[in-house]
Amino acid sequence: MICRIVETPIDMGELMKHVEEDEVGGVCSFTGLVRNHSRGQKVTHLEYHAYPGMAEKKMRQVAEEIEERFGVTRLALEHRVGTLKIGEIAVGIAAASAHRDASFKACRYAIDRIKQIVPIWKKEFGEDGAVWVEECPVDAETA
Amino acid sequence: MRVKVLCFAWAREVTGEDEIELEIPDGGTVADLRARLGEEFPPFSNRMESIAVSVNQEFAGDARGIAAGDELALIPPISGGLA
Repeated sequence: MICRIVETPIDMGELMKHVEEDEVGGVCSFTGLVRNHSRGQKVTHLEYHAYPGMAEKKMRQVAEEIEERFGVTRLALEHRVGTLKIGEIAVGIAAASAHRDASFKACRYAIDRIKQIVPIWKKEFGEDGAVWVEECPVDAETA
Repeated sequence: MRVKVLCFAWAREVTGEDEIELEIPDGGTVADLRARLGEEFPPFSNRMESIAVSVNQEFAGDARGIAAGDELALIPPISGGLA
């Protein structure tokens, strides 16, 4: 299993290869890209910042929740930090299971839950300056 | 007691530091930390409910006790994004 914050480009092929094994019948992946617009404004680039240590700890929690819910243990979660250009991969997820349903569900749950509980922040840079994207206050009770 | 608090993202911009020190009562809680934070840095007062606090890398409610040496952090809303 991979749960890590990286400063270098994410290789989706590597993540998908990592979760494969002989008893796997399906691999599902999600690639989160840097988009060139946000809330009607042009975006030139992004900065991602993480709380080192806690971010990987909470990613491991997401992986544990996925094992409990869907029985999926072949999982790779990577989030990149630093300055990212348009089109670069910010987050990469790969999940594998014997039958396809569990890996689809694991992938969807992983991206939604990462965005709820993993302390990573995004600063968007556009023509009018920079803003922190603050869409999800953390609920301490459920995080 | 004096505690060290890590600041990230918006919180980092308000305090101007990666890490601040605050004085809270011995045996104090996250609620005490929030009260002190609002006094020291007024911009937090208006949006305290949107800032989470972590203790030893786990999110903590206001009743959570703080011990000397705990790793504390201010966690502004994370990036989220539309599903």
